[in-house]
Amino acid sequence: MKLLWLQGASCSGCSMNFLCAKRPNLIELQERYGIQFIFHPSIAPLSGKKVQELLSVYTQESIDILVVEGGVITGPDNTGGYHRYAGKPFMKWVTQLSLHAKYIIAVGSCSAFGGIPVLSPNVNDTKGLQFTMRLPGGFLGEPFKSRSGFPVINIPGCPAHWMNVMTILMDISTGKLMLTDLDEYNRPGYIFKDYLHHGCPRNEYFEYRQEATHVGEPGCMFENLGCHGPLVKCNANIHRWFDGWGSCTWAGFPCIGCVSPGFPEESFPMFQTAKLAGIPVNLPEGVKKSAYFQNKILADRACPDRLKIKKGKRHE
Amino acid sequence: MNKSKTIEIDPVTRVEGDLRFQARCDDQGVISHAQSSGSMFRGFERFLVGKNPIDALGITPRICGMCSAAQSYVCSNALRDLFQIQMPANGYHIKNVVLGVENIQNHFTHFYLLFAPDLAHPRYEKKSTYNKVARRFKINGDSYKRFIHLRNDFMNLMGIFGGRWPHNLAMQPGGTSEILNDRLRLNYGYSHYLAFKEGIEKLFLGCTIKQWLKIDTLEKLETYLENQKNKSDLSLFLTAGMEFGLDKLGKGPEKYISAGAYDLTDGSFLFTPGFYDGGFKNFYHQHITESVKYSFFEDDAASSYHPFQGKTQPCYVENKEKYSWVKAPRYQDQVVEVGPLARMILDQDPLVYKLFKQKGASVWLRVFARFQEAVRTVAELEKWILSIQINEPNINHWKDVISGEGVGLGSAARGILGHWIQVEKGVISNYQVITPTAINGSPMDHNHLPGPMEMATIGTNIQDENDPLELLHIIRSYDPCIVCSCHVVRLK
Repeated sequence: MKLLWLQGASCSGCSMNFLCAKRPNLIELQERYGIQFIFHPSIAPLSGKKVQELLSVYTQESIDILVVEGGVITGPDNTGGYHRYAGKPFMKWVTQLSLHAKYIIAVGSCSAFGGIPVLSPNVNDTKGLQFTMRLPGGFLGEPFKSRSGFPVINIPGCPAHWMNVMTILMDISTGKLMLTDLDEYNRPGYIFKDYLHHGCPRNEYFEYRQEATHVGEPGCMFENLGCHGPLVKCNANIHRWFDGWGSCTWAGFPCIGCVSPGFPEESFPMFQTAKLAGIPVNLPEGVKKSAYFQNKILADRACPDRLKIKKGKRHE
Repeated sequence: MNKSKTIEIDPVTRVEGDLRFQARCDDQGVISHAQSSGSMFRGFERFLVGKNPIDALGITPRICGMCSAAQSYVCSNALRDLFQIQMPANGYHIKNVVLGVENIQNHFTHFYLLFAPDLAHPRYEKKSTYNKVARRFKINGDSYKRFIHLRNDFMNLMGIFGGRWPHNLAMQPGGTSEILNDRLRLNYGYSHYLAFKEGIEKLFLGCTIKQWLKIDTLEKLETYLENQKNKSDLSLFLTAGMEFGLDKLGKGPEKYISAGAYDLTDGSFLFTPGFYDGGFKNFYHQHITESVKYSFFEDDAASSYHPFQGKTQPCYVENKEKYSWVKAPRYQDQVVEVGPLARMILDQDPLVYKLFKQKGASVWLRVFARFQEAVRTVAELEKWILSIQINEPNINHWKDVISGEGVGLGSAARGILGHWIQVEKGVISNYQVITPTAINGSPMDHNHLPGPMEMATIGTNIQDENDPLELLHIIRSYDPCIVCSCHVVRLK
């Protein structure tokens, strides 16, 4: 299968993380899964005119997989002039290439939902491919379907976890991916099914409501440090980043919800939990306020001594 | 009659981000004029105005996926300056490990994935080292593949000490976020380090790092090259690079600045900061100013500002004069180069500085300086990992401030990195970033002086205008990272 990878309003972080992939790594993916990288900006042998010619071929012919990393810049005044690539506004390439692509994968939160560049005031009018934040539509429009009948397949994350990208590529190459696999944000539901909280190494603190007040302390980071772990669907605590090593809460810092369609606008203020009458404004999905409160009192009472941490306030 | 020809490369691939490069050649094929254009605008610093100072930690690493840890490092330094707090020794060691891992991988990734494949170009077919070079350095060649495997394991260190990469929040103003009661994590961090070190020694150096660092004269380097017989990748590059003429390409401004790299607990740096213009001088960040005469921003006068005073409004017009989204930072109005070559010269590295005095700057020396820095950092990494004290604190807590300023300076893989933060009424009122490629890849300034990369290409003889390989060598030798540079913008 032929794969073409483009970078829009991005930081290259998703590519950099993808390069960390192993079993298969970048080379094994090509050798063992028959996915041929026709173009990727960081590994392309060619430059200049030859790239323009190469990309132009797939504005006429079908490409199996089109990967877009980064948002689509449409400013100023819907001209796309804020981002020119290979001889024309980048957004023109996206329009033309998407017409002939069998599958389109949005790698990373920027191309899936707009991500970092759509942060207010979004001076360059960036859009996600088929969503801009939680709003369906994006650059290609809500009704858009690629040649296979799939909408744009979203693999959010800042960066997207290489394992998630790989697994989608494997599933496409073996024909396993089904339309029913996608959720309401066109994410593969089998990847984005659990909350980050699931598998968090600090779960025992959550269970007994022992809260950290500063980064670098033991304790759950949900009530004081703005951790989004129980609020966003992310598999980083289950699958970790590198061979079982590393995730946000594993390394002691709170999740800021980088996989969420609302990222980063909904993540502010970071390292702080918005509260009303002492209760976090955003509670874990499906939990009622009164039940949360009662549970907290009981849990605190049940807490064994070994887990108890000193109560304190966040630095004023 | 003068027949001038224009070469346009759009996009330049195997650099990070979107770079368009234009050059004009005279009838002899010599470049007389060059334009480096960053062709994307993201408007980054505007995001931060009105936010809490600490929010900068979550946003600024996302400026760049290649030097995310460097952004974290420098941002946390700026915040530390703002909050006026101290950092425990463990904080220094862990931050240096995370930054070191990122820089080392950046340097080697640059060589194997971005730079070296050009050496397998058929144009060099007749050269004696060509067969070896092509077999090892081409895309998916032997060394290319071996390096990707090596890199995969090495990056586990990022998981162990940083939690993730890119974009982790482990680096905080007062230290780092890990809870250091886990000896297992440290042990495995060290074991991954040992594996990488061994890999680099076998694949790249052909000797141990200890032996390599003893080579401090040009005679000893000669002996090393003779003994290696091009077996190691480093020796092959050094020999082939000279044979292919890379030591005569891409001189650049030959003036350098460095803000120092890797803060040490005693207040010094692993690599000394400074300004070199033929002699060694002190470096002051106050001397950096930015000009927007040739950038897509409105300028009120043909002058330039320090980042704290900079005021820029995007104005994208198909204008003959303006051609880049990158501003033009200068040091005391002079064009200066940043990066590993600058750092190694300013640190008076025994090999790089001697080679610079003897042969001058070039593509060849720029690539070699990157290696030298990487290898020296690999050696330091071991000391830092072993210095981490379990059960000792690694973070101090800070108090928020109502108003104030903070400056963070440091080094990303590609050169000097500076963050400037101003806070009023408890929120950010101004945030400015200067990145390495903003300097190296900058357009012309208000004095009509070309940027370092442009300067390095002027005077180059292009053999084939339709395949300007020389130009690509020069551009890639700077390891430009355009994603970093094109959003260094403040909107009012």
